[in-house]
Amino acid sequence: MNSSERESLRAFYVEFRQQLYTYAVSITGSRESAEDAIHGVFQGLLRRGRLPSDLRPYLFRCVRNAALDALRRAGVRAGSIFEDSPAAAAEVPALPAAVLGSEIEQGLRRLSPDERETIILKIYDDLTFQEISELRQTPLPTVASWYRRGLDKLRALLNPETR
Amino acid sequence: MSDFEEKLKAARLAAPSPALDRRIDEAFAAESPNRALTARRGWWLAILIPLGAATAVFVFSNRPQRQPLQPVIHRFVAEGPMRQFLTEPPQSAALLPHFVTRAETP
Repeated sequence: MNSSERESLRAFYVEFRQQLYTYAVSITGSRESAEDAIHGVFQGLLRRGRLPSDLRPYLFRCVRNAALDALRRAGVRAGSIFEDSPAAAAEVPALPAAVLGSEIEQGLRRLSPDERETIILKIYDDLTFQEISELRQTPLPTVASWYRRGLDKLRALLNPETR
Repeated sequence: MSDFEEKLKAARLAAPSPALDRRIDEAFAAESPNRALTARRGWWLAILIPLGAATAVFVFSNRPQRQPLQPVIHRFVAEGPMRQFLTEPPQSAALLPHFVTRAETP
């Protein structure tokens, strides 16, 4: 890998570390396994040498594969993608009608895996439907359908109008 | 993005630990250009050294076989009464014995 590719990869990590981490935790259910998966992906890419021109979908796919491998090895765990420290919980009520991360987490767990993954990629990782479609290698209308159906279910579960 | 999506997005996400950043830094440091160059050089050497050795073995094994060296025996034969000429050398060179020298291998 030449120095410009290394710099691109480094810049990508700095810019997207949070999104990659959220995505990996949502799959593995473990923060430790998510970090191991991300580290393994970057280590592998550094050793492999060549990078594709469009890094974003490629790296999300790599992290997805590594996270799924970790999930297969370790089994389902219940780690949250949300900050659940008491300090964070105390800050959230300052936002009017905001939803606590723990509540969203409970709602997300009741969705199908496809719906949950699509909502996390769209809302928390800022991927477009097109990018999610490429990442999941699934037609775009299917992805959009997962998203809308999942969002409707989540809205009903969280029932924010009553807050 | 709808209000509901905005509310979902407002939830605070867990952040990766400093340990991950440190591990990533170490991964980049371990694969720095100098290290990569050294590794590439190592690969080249790993390819070239056995290739050179194999070439040398091939070349030397296909050289034409030379005959092994054999001793050469020089045999001096004096035709005539040698002892007499040694003990009583003649005055005239014309009377010196005639030597025949043959070099031969056994």
